[in-house]
Amino acid sequence: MDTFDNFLNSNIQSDQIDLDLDNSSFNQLHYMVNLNATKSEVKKNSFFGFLTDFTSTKFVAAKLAFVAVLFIMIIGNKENRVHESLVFLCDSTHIQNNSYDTIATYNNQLCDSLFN
Amino acid sequence: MNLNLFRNKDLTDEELLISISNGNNDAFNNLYSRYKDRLLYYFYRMLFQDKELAKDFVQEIFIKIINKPHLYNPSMKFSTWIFSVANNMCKNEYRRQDIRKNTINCENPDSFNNEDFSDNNHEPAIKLIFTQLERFDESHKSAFLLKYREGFSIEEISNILDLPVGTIKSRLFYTRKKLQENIKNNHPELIEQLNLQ
Repeated sequence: MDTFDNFLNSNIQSDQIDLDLDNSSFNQLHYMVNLNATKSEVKKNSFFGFLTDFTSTKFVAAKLAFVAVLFIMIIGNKENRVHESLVFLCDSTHIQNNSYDTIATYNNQLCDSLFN
Repeated sequence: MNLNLFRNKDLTDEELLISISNGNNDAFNNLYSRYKDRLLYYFYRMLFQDKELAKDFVQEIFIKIINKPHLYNPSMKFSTWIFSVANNMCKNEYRRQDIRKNTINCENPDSFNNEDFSDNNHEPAIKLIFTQLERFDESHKSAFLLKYREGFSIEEISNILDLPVGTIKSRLFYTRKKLQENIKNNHPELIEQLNLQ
């Protein structure tokens, strides 16, 4: 068995087959590599690519700083809005009071005109 | 470009795969030249010595490498991984062609017939071995090729075929034994050439 094993080890590896691959298939594979490279370039420039890059582990400090600034801006904007809405509420109460007055005056005038 | 090609020659298969996923053509050329002949031979011997089918399968496996490099399992060596993919492709093809119906039961040594081995391109003994190997099932054939053609260790073959080490050892032993017996019985003229005294 050992001699047969030795024969197999030494002869099977050197066995040749009369077969080769076509250039056209190799060119097609090359084309696909190029196509994938173009696709990844396009992806990099797209919003999704931005998100993918953003979630990667590169430049973590810069990304954290960016997120912090964004967070501060959002909070600031929110506080501004709260202030504006308070002002609006005050104004609207004033308007409502005015309109009640107007309606009362109108009703009085209507009664006067009906009964007099 | 030539500088890239020079650099890529020093890269490992795994590093080349990363470069390919970034669209590096030279890395692809390098990986292709490292594996195309090995894979072509493997597919040719596994897939009933069908030249066109072997070519198609080599093309298909490289398309997988280009389009789905993320499928590479980093816990395996690239060479082990690519042959496990190749083996799975062969398994699927066997299933597709339902070749098991046509394989002769290896338990019956009489199923090996005398055939004409006069072929100018091959040594008669090697030709005989591969003709007889055709009659084994896919896993015996695959273990044999990975061991004697590709020179993988038993552990590596076990990883490629996803079978226990003991099973691989017994399949190799069984294949060798049956080949030897059948050569002795049917081709006594080759006993000396194959050191089967």
